[in-house]
Amino acid sequence: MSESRSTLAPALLRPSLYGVAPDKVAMRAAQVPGMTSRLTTDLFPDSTPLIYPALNGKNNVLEATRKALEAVNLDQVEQNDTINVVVSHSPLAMMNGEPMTAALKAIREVLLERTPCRQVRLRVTGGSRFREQAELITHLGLDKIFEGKAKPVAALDRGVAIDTEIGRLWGLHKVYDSTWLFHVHTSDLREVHFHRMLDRALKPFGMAYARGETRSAFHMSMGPRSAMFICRAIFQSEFVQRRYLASCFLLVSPGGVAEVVAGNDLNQLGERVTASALQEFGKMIQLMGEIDSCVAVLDAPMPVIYCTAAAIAYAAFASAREDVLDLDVALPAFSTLSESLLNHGGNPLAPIPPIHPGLRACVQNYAWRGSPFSTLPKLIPTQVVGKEQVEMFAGDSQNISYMKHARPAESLTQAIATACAEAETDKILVFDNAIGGLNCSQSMAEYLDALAPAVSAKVDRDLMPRWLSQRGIAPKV
Amino acid sequence: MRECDWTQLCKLNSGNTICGVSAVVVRPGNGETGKNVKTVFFKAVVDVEKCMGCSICTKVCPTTAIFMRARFAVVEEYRCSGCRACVQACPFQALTLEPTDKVTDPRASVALVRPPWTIGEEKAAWVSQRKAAARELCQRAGLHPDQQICMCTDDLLAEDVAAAVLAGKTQPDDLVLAVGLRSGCTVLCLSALFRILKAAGIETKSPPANGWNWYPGTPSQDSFPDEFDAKYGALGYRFSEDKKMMNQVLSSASTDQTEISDERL
Ligand code: SF4
Ligand code: SF4
Repeated sequence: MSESRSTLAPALLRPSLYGVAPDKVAMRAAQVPGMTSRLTTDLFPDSTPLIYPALNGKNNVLEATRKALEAVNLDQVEQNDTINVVVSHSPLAMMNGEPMTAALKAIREVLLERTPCRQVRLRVTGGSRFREQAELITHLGLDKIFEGKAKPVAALDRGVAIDTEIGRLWGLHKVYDSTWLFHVHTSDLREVHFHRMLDRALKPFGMAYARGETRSAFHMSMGPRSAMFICRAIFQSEFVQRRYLASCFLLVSPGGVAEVVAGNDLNQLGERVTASALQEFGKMIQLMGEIDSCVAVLDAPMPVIYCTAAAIAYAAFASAREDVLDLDVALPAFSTLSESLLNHGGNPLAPIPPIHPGLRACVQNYAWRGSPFSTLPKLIPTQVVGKEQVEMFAGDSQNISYMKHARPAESLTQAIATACAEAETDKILVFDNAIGGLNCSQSMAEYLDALAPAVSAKVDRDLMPRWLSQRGIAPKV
Repeated sequence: MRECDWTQLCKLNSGNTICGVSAVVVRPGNGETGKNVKTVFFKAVVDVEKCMGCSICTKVCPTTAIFMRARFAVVEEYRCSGCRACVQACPFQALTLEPTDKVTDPRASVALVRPPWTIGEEKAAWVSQRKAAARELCQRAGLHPDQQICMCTDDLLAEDVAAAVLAGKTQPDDLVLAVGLRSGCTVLCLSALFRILKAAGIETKSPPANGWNWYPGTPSQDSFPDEFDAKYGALGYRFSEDKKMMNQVLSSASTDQTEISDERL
């Protein structure tokens, strides 16, 4: 295929403490002349059919959630009990928050219909932007859906001690201040450079539902193929098991939502979630890893590292030349531990693979602050578009050297022209969290069209069996 | 007259009034690194019209810089690192960050204490005076001395924190002001902080007034017993391989002071 398609709609911008006001953004990357798009199904025709985006997509998710919940046993819940439906910010930030909001609505309805409990509350947890959860609750109308019983929970909120197989860890009090905990998440690849698709379904227990101290241990104190055990240790603790009721997951792909699954047994669901994620995202991240040269354009209401192209986050892309799904690879090119082991002079203290050599330059048209990522502009020539955004990043306490390494640019088109000239490429990949596929330059689209069939065959034949067996998952799952 | 604040705003407009170098700094950044210090350009300010007296900000501040007086939050500005944690945590949006052109001490009612101030000015001296001991302390904490501890300030190594601890900065809030850790995201450096304090045999004090500014204790790679490979390896975990890798990192660190480049100092 060498056709020129119209671009996909980028993620909607919204006012936030973490980003420049949307009305200050002069142009979106998808509007740059010459941009085109590829749907996931253009690149990989065997992709799983989607329930979202689709006609009546929101309703599809709602109905699929209700159906999935039929498999969940809720008999233990009594009249005077309380249930915390717990979800982290990341699934709510995906696809403009629409599918997860629909799923949460269905979960609440079912819990009220099938149990005598009237206290069904929502807890929205988050990452290192402590106000993002509150913003999402208001923006997505979750406080209305939960009739005023929706609370944000931040990493620095009051903690609660959880004694585990590896000693005392710290959870967040507001997550666990109920009789029951209903865990809601997705199979998104997102921070694959951190979780390595190991026990993916349990990740929020050691991160989004945990205090900062425990998150720090995850990121900075252990190797990437051990750290996820923190999540399992917390989940398996007597403290959590006493409260744990059931889980519901959106099984997603680079194109959208494929399915909703739910159950009481999280270990069993976890296998399903991991197998689905490897199947759905493996080809896309491999394809991106093979790109020989490109300029990345960031343009989404997300911190720099979480802007996505076909649901692959910019930070995961920066690590994608190595196979981050292969557990024989010890350290990814970019992760907090890898950054920590790059000492002052940039010399690695451990064998850290280089940043994706095909990622030649970056243009930041719109992205949020609120997570540390100053290492990236040190390693990748980066331009930041617009005075307001430059000022915001220069004033970010989490990235105090960001603008020391990044350069300011007056306009998006000028920045792209400069980046392409300096990087000697006309291949542009847009990380704008568009749903259904990715936006890119025509040359990039044609390049991906040509690469995709061989990547697909390699994943089916060699990589998928290897990834599954490394995680003890039978191929049929 | 100030040094360039690196925002490079001057490059944005031709014929502009915005300067990066010659000292007319329009709006400085929150911090700049260089000479091993962080310059703090912002301080937290309470809007008493909005403050509802919930005291949440006092419980999250890593430097314990906020206290309650007459049911309102008050910031001890000379202890504020500009991390923004309180700004984000306040449920009533009563806190903002403002430029530190004038910093006051509310307890002493002193008008001007210092203009944009620096964290970590003594760091270089502490490291140079105690380098071997600091590096040895890092080893005991299971950290490479040259490992970056803070991703936000960009220039804080394990040996810097260890040297500060050996110099008597032994509590989490003091260490923020001494070396700059927890002055950005406030989270990622916590594990290393508690490992160094534990290795130094220091008991961490409790935060003031039942706060949750920090919770001591942290696991490390050594928290995984040898039998974990057999118990959980089938799920994909690689405890022994990761332990070997982390040990190799540690063993590459030399405690011999003469072999260490002092380029940073
Ligand atoms: S968190 Fe906000 S409302 Fe509460 S005491 Fe602090 S400034 Fe006042
Ligand atoms: S140090 Fe951080 S939390 Fe404390 S007052 Fe200053 S900005 Fe607020």
